[in-house]
Amino acid sequence: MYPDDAFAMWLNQNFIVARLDVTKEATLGKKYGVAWTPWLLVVDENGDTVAQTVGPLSASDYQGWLDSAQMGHAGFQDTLKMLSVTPDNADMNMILGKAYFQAGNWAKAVEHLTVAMKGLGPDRAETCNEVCSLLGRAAVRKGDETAAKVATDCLAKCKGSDAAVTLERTHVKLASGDAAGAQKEYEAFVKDHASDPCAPEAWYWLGVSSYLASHKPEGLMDAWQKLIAAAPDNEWAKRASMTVAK
Amino acid sequence: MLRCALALLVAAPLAFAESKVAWKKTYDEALSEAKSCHKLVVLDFFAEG
Repeated sequence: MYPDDAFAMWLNQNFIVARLDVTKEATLGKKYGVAWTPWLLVVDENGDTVAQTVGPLSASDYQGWLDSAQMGHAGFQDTLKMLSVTPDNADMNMILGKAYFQAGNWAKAVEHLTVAMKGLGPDRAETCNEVCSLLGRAAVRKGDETAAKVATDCLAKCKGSDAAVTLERTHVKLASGDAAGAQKEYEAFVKDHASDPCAPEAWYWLGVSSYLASHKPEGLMDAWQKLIAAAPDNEWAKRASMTVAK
Repeated sequence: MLRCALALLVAAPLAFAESKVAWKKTYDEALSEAKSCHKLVVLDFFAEG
């Protein structure tokens, strides 16, 4: 990700960068929920997460992601101030809910996305899908089954799919250390939701869970090669490609 | 800010062989410099081997 000199200079000018070996920094790895490597985070000066993702990313995708994190952070306080004037504003709550979700602050994401969901009119089906799906995912991560039920009911009303919420439950299983159990669920997901937009993400994590369960690379390579063949332009396939190419 | 500018000037000699990124050696060092320079921190977790 870093051999590009122009990107390295841009990175140096805009961020402070630390590269940490998770096998030696287990406490930090646990604190930041590192499930796989490379695991990329943007944090503020207090160490609070602004954004997180799994790599590797191409230099251009990496720069785009960092730009987005930086802009989101810069606009965050302004959005909070505006929200203090109009606390029930659906769009403001949606922006904050997304930002908290990206930062992995599940409780705050649930709080704001719940308000956003209530404020959306019936004429905004696409936004309704996005908000309710994200609310469901955040609720699952938080372990809040009541909010998860509210989100899936909302998705049914919007005529949206709750596949992303189902997938998030499997991510939680993987994060809890049950790689073999997660692997079975990812296998079922890619079979049952083959044409869902979340399928590439499931293929990617199927590969990861297979490796974590067996400590053998065959299952990972098989899943990732299928992912790359099926959706070469997808962001998850690009991540897999960069690793497979090595 | 002078400290931040100097850090950029010496970035290349401090960098790993494969790139010109001015890596901080520790988490605490990165956060400390973020406070001085008012910048965000990128943490790149990797696994040796």
